[in-house]
Amino acid sequence: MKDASGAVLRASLRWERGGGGELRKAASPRIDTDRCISCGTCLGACPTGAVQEMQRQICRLCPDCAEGEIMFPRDMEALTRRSCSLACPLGHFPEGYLNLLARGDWEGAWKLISAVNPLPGVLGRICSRPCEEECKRGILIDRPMPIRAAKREVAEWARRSGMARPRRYPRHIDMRVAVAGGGPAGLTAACDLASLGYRVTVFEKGPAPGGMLRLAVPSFRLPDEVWEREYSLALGEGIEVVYGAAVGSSPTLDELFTGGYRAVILAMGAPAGKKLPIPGSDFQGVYDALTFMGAVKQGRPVRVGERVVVIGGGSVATDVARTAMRKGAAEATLVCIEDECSMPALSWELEEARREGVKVAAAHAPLRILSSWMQAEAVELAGVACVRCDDLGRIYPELEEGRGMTLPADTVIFAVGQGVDAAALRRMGLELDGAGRPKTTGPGGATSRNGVFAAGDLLGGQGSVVEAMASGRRAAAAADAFLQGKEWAPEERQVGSAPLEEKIFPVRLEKLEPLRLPSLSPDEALSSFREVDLSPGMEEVEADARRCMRCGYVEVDHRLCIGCGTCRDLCPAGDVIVMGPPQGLEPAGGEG
Amino acid sequence: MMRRHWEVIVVGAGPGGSTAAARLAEAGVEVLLVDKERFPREKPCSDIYGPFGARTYEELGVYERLLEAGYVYPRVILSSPDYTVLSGPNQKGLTCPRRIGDNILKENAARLGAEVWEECWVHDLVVEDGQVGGVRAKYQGEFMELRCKLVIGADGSHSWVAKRLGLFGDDYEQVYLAGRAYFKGCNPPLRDVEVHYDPGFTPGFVCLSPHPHYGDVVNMGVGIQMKKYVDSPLNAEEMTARFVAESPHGEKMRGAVQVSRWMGWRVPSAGQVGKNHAAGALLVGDAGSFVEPFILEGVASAVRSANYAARTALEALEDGDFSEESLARYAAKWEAKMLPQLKALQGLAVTAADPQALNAAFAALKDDPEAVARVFGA
Repeated sequence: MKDASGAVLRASLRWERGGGGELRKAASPRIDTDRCISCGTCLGACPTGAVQEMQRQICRLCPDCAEGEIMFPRDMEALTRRSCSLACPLGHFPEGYLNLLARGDWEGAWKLISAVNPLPGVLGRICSRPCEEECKRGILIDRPMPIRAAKREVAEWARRSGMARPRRYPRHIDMRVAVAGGGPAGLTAACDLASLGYRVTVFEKGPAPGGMLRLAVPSFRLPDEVWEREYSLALGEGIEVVYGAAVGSSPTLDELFTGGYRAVILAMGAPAGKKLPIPGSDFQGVYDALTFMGAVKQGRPVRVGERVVVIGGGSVATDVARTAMRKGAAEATLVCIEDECSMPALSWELEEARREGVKVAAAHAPLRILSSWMQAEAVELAGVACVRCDDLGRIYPELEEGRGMTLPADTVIFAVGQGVDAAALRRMGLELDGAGRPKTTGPGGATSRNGVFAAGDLLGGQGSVVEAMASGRRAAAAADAFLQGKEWAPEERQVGSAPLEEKIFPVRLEKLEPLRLPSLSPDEALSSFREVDLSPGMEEVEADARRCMRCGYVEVDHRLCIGCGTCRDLCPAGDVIVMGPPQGLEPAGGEG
Repeated sequence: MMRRHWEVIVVGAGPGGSTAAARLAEAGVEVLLVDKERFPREKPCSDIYGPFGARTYEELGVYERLLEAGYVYPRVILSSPDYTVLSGPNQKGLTCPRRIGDNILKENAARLGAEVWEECWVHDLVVEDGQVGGVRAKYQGEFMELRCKLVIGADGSHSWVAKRLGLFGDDYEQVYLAGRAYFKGCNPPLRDVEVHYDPGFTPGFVCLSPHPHYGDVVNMGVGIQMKKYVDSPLNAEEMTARFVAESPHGEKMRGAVQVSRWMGWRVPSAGQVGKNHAAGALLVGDAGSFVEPFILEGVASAVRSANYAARTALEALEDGDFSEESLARYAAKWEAKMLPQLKALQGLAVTAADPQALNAAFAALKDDPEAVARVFGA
C-alpha cells in the first residue's frame, strides 16, 4: 500500500519557489526505457498517477521471424493495447519479477510478488493464469512465459530462505472491520484492510481457514501445507480469526455493528454442493462434488466404485475425476452438455485429466440415474444439439435424437456448480437476487445494507481463486473508502502504445527453447495424492525468464508529475530512473 | 581460453560481413566474424548476386566458386504497370540460393584468415565514453564481453548494432516488406530474371529468378512499400497469387507448384540511407540501409559498402584513430561512389509510386536500351 501522504509531503520538499514566488518543480524523472522492466512499482506508488505503462509493438511482418502467423501492422498495433499486467485481476506485473529472475534477483522478485499477493504459493500453483493467455511470446513466438510456475518457484525460494515471514500490520486506524469467511477472498480483504491500519477480525464458520482451498482443491494440485503455511504468514500477528462463527446467525450483522465493527465484508463463498434434479440423484453412490472432495480431503471414508461418472465440464469436474482415479476408480468419465471446445474447464486442466486417463463424453446431458435397488448402476444420457440460455441467464441443453447412450456407473458425482447459503443471507436482511445472491451496486460489492460489502464466490463468477482474491481486494478498497468518507472507483488502467522506434523485432532476441515444466508421470501421479507439478529448478527458471520480450515499460506524463522522485526512490531495477531538469512545468491541473 | 580481444569484430556473416572480414583478413588484420546462425542457413531473398559485386568476388578469389554454384542469367526483364516490357543484358550477375552462396562467401572469409564464430548472439555493444569498444555476446552457452578497436555492423535489416548506435531507420515510406517462396513447374522454364512492377502493388513488384541448376525451381517473391502494406487487404503471399492469376507475366507460373514455405523479410531501402558511422563502429549492407530493392541490389550493395568499410578500417588501424571524425572517411567513400546511383534509383522508387509515371518512364526507356543496361550494371 502506498503511503500517499508521505509521498506528497516529500514532494513538497522538492518544489522550489521561482522568481515570481510561484511554486515550481525542481526536477523531473527520466526513464531509461531500454532497461525498465515494467514491474509496476513506480506506477503503483506515484502519488499523482503520472506513470503509465506502455506496450511495445512486436513486429511480426515477415513470416520467417518466428513460427506462426504473420500479421498486418494494424493487428500488431492492436496487440499493444493488451498486456500481461492488464490481465492480472490482482495487480501483478509479471514482467517485473520475470526480468529480476532473469538476472538472478530472487529477493527482488519475492518483494514484487509478495507486495500484491498474500498467497503466492497458492496462486503459483492453482491460478487460472490469465496473464499467460496475454503473453505475446505465446501469442506470437513460441510458448507463453511460465509466469505461474515462476511465481511458485519464487514462493518456494522465499520459504527455504526464510524471506517469507509473518506479515506485520500497523494499527493506526482505530476502527474495527469484520470479514465473514476465511477463504481466499476474505483473506485478501482482511490483509488489505489490516495493511491500511484497520483492526480486522475474520469470522470463519468452520474449524480452520482456507475456504475452498481446504474443502475442495485437491492436494495433488495444492498440498495442504502450502496454503496452511501461507495463511499463517498472511494472517501474521495482526489479524484475529474467530472459528466456528457463522456471520448471519452467530454473530448476526446487527451484533457485529453494535459490537463495534464499522464495516463488514461478506466472503462466505458458495459452500452448498449441488446435484441436478434428475431421477436417481439420491441413490447410493451419488454425490455432489463438494461433499465428495470434502470427504476425500478430510479423510472421511467415501466409497468410490470401479466406474465413475462425473457430471459437469468445469475445473471442479476435472479435479473430481482425477481425485476419483486416485481413489481407485478404474475409469472416470466427464459428462457435460457443452461440446469439447466450449467446456468451461481450462484447456490444460482437460489435458492433465486426459493424461491421467479421464475420458470425456461431451455434448451429452444426463437424463436419469439407473439403479439396482438404490445403488447407482448406470447413467442414461441424451445427446445435446446445442446449449441455450434462458432469460434468467440459466443454461439448458437442446437435446438431439439418436445420440443417447447408457454409461455404466457405480459412482456418480455432480460437479455442476455450488450454491450460496441462502438461509444465512436471508437472515441478514439483505436484498437478494433471483439466484439468492446479495444484490450489489458498484465494483466494490456494496450490498443493500450500509457498510456491508460482498466478495468472492458469494457473488457468483467463474470461481477462480485469483478472481475471488481480486474481488476481496475491491471490497476492502470500497470498505476503506466508506469508512473514510471518500469516493472510490477502481482504477480503469489502460496501457499506451509505444512509439514505433521502440518496436521489438523478435529476430534480434536470444534464441531460447521454452522451458518444459516437469510433472509426475501419470502412473506415479495416480498412485498417490502427491503434487503433480514439479519444480523445474531455479537455474532453469532463471534461464527461461530471459525469454520475456519485455513488451512493457513505463512513461511519465510530465504534466501530472510533481517531481517528488518517489518513482526513482522505489525502482527495484537500479538506476533506471534518474531525476533531471524539470519538464512540463505546469503542475497538475495547470494548463500544461 | 577463448580469445576476447580482436582488432575488428564484424557482426553478421552475410555477404556484407563476409566481404568486410575477408578484405581485412587478407590485409593481415585480426578480425572476428560472428553470426547468430549456423551456416549454411536459409535467407529469404530473391537470390540475386547482382553484377555490381562481381569485381569484389573476383578480387577475393571467390567468383569462380560462385559461378560453379550459381547461374548467370542472360537478361533482366522488366515490365511496367501497363505490362510494357524492357530488357537489359547481364554478364556478371548470377542467381544462387542464398543458403549456398552466402556459405561460399563466409568460408572464403575464413580461408583468408578471419576467425568465424557461428551461433554467436550479439546482444549489446560495449560503449565507453561514447566510443564503441566491443560487443557483448553469448557464444557456446556463455555470456561474454569481446573487445576490439572497431565494430562493423553487418547484422542485416533488423540490425541491433544500428539500433544501439541510434542509427536504425524505420521509415515506413522507405522500408519494404518482401516475401518469397520456391516453385517448380514454370512453363516455359524461366531463364531470365524478371521484375514486374505490377499494377496491383505500387510501389512494389513481383520478382522471378531462375535456378536451372537446382531442379529448375523458380524463386517468386514480392516486395511492397511498408506504408502501402499497412493498408493492404492482401498479404504478400496473396498478392503474388493475384499476380499469377491476373498478370500476363504471371501466366507461366499458373501451373507451378509451391515447393517451400513462404519466408519474408524487411528491406530497409536506400531511400533512408544516412549516417552509417559512429565512434568505433561502421554499418554495412542492410544494417546501413544500402539496399535498392527496385533493381534487386541488396547483396551487391552490401558487398560494395563492405569494401568501403574495410578500406576505412584499414586506414583507421594505420592511424590508430577510431573516432567519429576519423571514421567519417567511410561516408566520404560510399557517398562518392554509391550515392549518385542510389539517388537515381530513388527517383525510380518515387516514380514507381505512381503507375502512370512509371508507364511513362518505361515508354521513354524503351527507346534507350543503354540506359537499362547502365541501371542493371551490364
